Amino acid sequence: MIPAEPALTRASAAMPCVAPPLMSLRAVRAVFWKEWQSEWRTRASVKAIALFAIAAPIALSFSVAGQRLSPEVLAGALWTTLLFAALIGLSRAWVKEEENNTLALLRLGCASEAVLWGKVLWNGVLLLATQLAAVPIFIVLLDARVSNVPLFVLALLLGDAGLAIASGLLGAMSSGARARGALFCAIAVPILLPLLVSASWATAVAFGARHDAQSALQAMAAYDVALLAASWMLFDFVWN
Amino acid sequence: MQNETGSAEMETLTVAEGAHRSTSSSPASFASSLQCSAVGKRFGTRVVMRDVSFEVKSGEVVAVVGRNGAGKSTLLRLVAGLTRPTVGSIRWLEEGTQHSDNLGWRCGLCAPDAPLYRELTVGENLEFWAQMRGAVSREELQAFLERFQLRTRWNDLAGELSSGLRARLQLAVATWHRPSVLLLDEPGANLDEAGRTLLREIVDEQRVRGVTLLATNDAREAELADRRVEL
Repeated sequence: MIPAEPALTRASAAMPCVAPPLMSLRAVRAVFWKEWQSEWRTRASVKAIALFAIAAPIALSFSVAGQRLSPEVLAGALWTTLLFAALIGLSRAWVKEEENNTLALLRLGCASEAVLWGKVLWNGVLLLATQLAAVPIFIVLLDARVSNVPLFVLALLLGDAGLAIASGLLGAMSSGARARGALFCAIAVPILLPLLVSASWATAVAFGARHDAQSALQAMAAYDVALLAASWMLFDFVWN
Repeated sequence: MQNETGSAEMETLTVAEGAHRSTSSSPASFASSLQCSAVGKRFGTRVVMRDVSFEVKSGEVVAVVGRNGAGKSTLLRLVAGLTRPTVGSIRWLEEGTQHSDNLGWRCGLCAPDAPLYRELTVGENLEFWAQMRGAVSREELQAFLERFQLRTRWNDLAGELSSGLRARLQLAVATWHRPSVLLLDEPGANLDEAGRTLLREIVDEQRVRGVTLLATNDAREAELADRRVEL
């Protein structure tokens, strides 16, 4: 903590360097709030995610033109849309740092865990916010009937958690590369495939398919926990 | 070395290829120092610097000079730990502690490529970095910005500031946490006379709390230093 004595005046020049960056809720919140303010003023990620998440079901609705799709196809289409919308938008949080040349300052001035969890939290909120608009549009345009709303919401939340956590680690990995966006997608798709399959399975049940949803939800929860643990353990290596 | 009247006596330290000359041994009165030992850096097959060795004792200001592309900025990034040396080591030695290679959090870096959040306001930029190290009140930060003539710009977007004011904000971000190692990369490039005076004050204040490395090609800026390391 910074000492009670005001640290920032000329008279305090001789005082030693303030404490190293701390991993604290305050620091996580600061990273989240920075992303929020930045996004509020540019709306770059929201536009990218929303554009794809809304345009894809519109295009799909024209191509199926009145046909009734099976729950499995609907669930696959929904999660393919959500995955690619996320891939377009979620890497922005890291790309922006590289473009602003602020990655260096982040490395010097922030605890790595605070950066990771702040960005993961922000990506999760961003996904939820855009899905609030995109999912109802998908349901209406493709005439999807949600027969089990709690299951549908749970599948979305578990899927979003996995996407947000994975994008935190993978975004940092790809941020230094020249083709950042392409690299992010190239790494993320194979890693997120098991989550996507389970999410589609659970969502299909929510749309009325007769499968076992419990095992799909368990697989998603386990995968989220594994991603969380891997991010926590590996982020320092990626960051430094 | 700084003489009694406070003027700087320049000593040039040439780091030639394959050979280096270290500074004189450290007086016991110095509590800490920055040591670069036989540091080399290569990007792919391109050798940026080779066998750079020097020591900067607490209280010293050292100018890093050299032609364009000599590796001045790279040396500052190496000291901050933002990139690793291909060979050699960079250490911060502090009285009562073991040699530490983890210098990053002790550093304040002011670089010319304006590492600021352009979509955030002046106040939000400084508050963000302050919150990373604990609690600092908005009043304290505003008071701190007074001397940088940025207090009245608290709500202005950093991206909309003039290049001179952005340079001042960079200086504020680099120094608010009283870094032990202040790394200044062409800090006066966009500063007016008042800004250069402020820079001189900041460099003088840094003498009482740590070391300063000043990468520059500007002779006036280099005069702020006690001696030079030439790459």
